[in-house]
Amino acid sequence: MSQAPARVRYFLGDLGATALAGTLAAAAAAAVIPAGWPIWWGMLTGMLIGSLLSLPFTLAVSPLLGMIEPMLQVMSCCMVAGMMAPMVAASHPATSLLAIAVLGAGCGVATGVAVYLADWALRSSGSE
Amino acid sequence: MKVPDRRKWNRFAPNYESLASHAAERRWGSFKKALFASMQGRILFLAAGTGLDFQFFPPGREIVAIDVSERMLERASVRAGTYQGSIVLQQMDVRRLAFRDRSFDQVYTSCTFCSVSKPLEGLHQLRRILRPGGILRMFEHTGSRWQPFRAMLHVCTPITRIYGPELNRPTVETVRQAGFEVTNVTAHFLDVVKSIEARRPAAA
Repeated sequence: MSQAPARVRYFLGDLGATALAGTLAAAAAAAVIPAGWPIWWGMLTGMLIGSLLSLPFTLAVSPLLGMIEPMLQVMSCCMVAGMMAPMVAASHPATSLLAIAVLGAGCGVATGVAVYLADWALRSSGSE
Repeated sequence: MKVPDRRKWNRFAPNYESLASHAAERRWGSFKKALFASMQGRILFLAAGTGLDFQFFPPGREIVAIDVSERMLERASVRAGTYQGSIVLQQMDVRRLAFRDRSFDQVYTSCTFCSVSKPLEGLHQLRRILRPGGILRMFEHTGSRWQPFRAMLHVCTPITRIYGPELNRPTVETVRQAGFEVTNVTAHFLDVVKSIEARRPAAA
C-alpha cells in the first residue's frame, strides 16, 4: 500500500504547525529583546527564547499532528526565527510586524522542507 | 525526574487518549497494521495501554497483552472485548515477566521501549520467554543517527520523560545487546520512527 498521499498530508500539517511556531518565536524574540542590544546578544537570546517556546508548542500540537517528532523541525525553526528576529526588527523598523511574520513563516517552510528531505534521505540510507 | 513506570502510567491513564490517541493512530495505523499482519502462534503484546492498537490486529489470533498499569488495562478491557479473537490482559512489568521460558512464538511492541525503565532488562526477559527462533517485532521511536536531530532529541528528553517517553534511546542497538539478531529495520519518519524485526537465535 502506498504511503505517499499520507506522507504529503502529514508533511503539509507539520509544515503549517512549524510556520506558526516560527512566527510566534520570532514575534516573542522581537518583543522581548531591547532594540539597542548588541546583535550577538540579541541573536543568542532570541535563539534561547525560540528553543524554549518550541517545547510547549510542540507538546500542545502533538495530539493534532499525531506524534511528538515534528518537534525536531519546530525546534530548529524556532531557534533560527528567534535568532534572526532582532536583526530583522532592527533593519526593518517601519514594517517590523510584517517582516517578523514573513521571517517566522519563511523559517517554518524552510525547515519543513529540509526535514522532509532529511526524512527521505534517512529512510533511504539503509539499515542500521 | 525519575518516576516509577507503574505510578507514572497509572497517573497518566485518564488523560492518555486525549494526548496520544486518535491522530497518532491515524498517522501510524497503516504501518502498525502491516507489522501486526504477521502475527501467528502464541503471541505476547507488550504495553497494551488503553488498547488503541487492538484495532490493527488481524482477527482470530490468541494474544496475551500486558501492561504495567492496571488503570490502563481497565480501559483496554473494553476494546479487548470487541476483538474478533482472544486477548487476555495481564498486569505485569516487562522487566519481571511471570511467563515460563520459551513460552511464546512472537512478541510485539508498540511505542514501548521509549518508556520502559532499564530497557535492556526488559529485552532480556523477552529473549527468555521467546522460543529459539521466535520473532520480536517492534514499532518504536528512537534516537537519530544524525547528529543535529540526535542533539535535539537529547535536549527534549528530560522534559518528555516526565510525562512518558524518552526520545533518544538507541533501541536497535539495545535489541542487539540483549542477544537478538536484528533482521530488518524500516524507517517511517526520519530514522526516528521505525519498525524493527529481530529473532532469538535458534541455537541460543
